[in-house]
Amino acid sequence: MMPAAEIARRVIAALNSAGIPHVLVGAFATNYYAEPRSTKDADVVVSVEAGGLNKFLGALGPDIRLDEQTTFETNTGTIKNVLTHVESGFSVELFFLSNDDHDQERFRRRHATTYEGQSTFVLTAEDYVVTKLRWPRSKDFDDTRDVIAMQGDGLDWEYIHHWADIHGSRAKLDRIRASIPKIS
Amino acid sequence: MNSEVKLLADALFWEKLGRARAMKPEDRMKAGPELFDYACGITLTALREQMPGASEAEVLAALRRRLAIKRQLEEAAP
Repeated sequence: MMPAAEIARRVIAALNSAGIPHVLVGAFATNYYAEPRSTKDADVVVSVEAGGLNKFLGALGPDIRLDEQTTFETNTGTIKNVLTHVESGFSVELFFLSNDDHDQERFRRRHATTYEGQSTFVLTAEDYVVTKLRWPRSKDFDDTRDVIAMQGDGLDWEYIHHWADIHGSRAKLDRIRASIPKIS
Repeated sequence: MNSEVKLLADALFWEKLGRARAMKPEDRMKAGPELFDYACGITLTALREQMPGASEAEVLAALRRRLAIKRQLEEAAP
């Protein structure tokens, strides 16, 4: 079975080959900033019209298929398509860059890095926190706590507070920070 | 949670983050899919035992069904 890391590398390589600006979000960003954990999918925000994926899909190969069904993500108002590696079931969720103010800002600020020799981008730690605060799931609470604890004093709190106030998530942020165990 | 258990849980939390800090961010990112492959390997071993006589294609299909169920559960989680 093809390793999941190789599937993710091929998707990033195909995005680069097609000249599609992108940023890794979700579990890949969690792992970049906190403790690594198993992930069965990669989430990528792409700056391209839904119909502009043909060159990218052509570079992927027939073993990675696009689910033609487009879904609407209600938390952030974005549209996504899912790519699935046929044999392994490992999937890549493509979120299309929306007009949401923070979606635009986090994309503009994305951090350059590499993945398996491929140039790519990941959310900044601050934008990771701001994004996670908008999600209601308990696992997002834990992920945000871990990233805040891991990044320590290196976070730009003024920036995070600015967006948390706009999104109405400041109280949740305060609860997460209060939940971080004290160093004994 | 009693105070001894809380102290232990807090210590484990920081130990976990300490291990993560020892890795490069790029390596932590790569570890996600590698851990997925490791977990799938264990699941495939179990499926082969549970499905004697099944072909490798049938075992892989069973793995994909499990992953699909896991996704549905995660999407429905509070």
